Amino acid sequence: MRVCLKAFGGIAATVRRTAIVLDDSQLDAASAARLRRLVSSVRVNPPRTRAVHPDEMSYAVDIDDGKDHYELRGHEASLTPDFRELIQMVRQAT
Amino acid sequence: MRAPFGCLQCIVPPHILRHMLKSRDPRVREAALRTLLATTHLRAERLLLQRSGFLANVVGSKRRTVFDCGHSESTDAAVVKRSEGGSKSSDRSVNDAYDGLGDTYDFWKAVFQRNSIDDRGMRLDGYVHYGNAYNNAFWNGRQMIFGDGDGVLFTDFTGSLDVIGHELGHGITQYTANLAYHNQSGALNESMSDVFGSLVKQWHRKQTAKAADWLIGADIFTPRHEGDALRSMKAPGTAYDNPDMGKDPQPAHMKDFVKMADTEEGDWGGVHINSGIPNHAFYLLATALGGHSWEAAGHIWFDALRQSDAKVDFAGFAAHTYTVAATKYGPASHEVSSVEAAWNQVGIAATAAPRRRAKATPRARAKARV
Repeated sequence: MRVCLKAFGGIAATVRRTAIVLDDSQLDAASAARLRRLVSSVRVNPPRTRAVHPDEMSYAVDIDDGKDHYELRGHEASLTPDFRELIQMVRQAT
Repeated sequence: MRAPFGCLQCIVPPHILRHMLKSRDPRVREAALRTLLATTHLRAERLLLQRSGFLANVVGSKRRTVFDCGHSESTDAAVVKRSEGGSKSSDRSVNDAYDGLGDTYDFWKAVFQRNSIDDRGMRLDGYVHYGNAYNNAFWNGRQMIFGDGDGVLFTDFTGSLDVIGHELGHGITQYTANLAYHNQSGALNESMSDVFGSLVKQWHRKQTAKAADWLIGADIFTPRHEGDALRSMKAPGTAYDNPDMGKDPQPAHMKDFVKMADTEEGDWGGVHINSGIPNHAFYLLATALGGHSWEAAGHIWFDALRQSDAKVDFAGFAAHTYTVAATKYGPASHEVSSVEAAWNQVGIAATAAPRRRAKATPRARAKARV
């Protein structure tokens, strides 16, 4: 599974940001399982959609699991706990 | 034993409580008595405050509360670290947020006689230490959230008064024109916050338009990026240019307006990019009028905001500034000619009649065709 995290918006929206990519082959078995569980959870229980607040960050997580390719999206103030954990995990692992 | 009856203190009407005093169960009698005593005490306290006139002063005055998120990305479990009139915290972020919220409140009160964000004394709640190395500050519709920065590019976002003024400016816009956060109205929303953020800083420093730096966010960068800022109202497009951040993409003129998608990737139609155009118009007006920017220029801009609707575009807003200046200072005034000149220099014709779309000047249109 390959996960690509992109962040948008914020008061510094125009400052260059690079996407962060995490491949589960880089992880130990437990972490890879945790990554798959979080992705699956966010896919089943996505954040509610609503208008963005001024300067609020938004996130897009692009998933390629070998069979399927899809994207998960959310705004900062309405992310689910699992979505937050997924973002943290991608950031910390890379 | 108290837990099952704890909720009685907030929902049970007095006649039921009095009836409960006759209950055979001593626990029910005790809870009812406790509730009635507490209610009576609160009622007496409120009456005393009203009679002394104290309550009238409390409602609608400056009410700041700073919470510590403890590096969590949730405000629900945040802890109060300093509230209005409270002593200084040992945490610098808490004090900076408290002071910044206070300076912004004082600015709006002194300059525009506005009582907080909603003009009805709305509480100013700031949440510091949000997330881990979080590179942002934002207004969530009710509260201000501050990250600590990653320490590499950005430092603590509470350290910048213009950033605090900017975010609370979004609150002011929300409670006035409520500008839609998309395309030109969204860029105006961002620009209003830059204007108000800069004015708060200039007012706090007692600076003239000429002396001001017209930079937004210069204080949130680590020393590695000394001298940089997020935006320059004086010279949009020059705030930063380095390998880590890229180059500031803000235009200063309609001929360079950046057409972007109304999506997250497109910054909702370039709201943080095209805000450079009205930002520069404000700078040009303020420096043309001279003196303190929060006086004539600030009042023209804020009154125009209050006359605007949620989907106003650049030309529509420019028209409102023209109308406000003509009404306040007279059609042949220096203020009106300065408003026209400022908008004209960024490629927008300011006339009294509101337009549906931003209209570029003939020169800008010809250049855009090339």
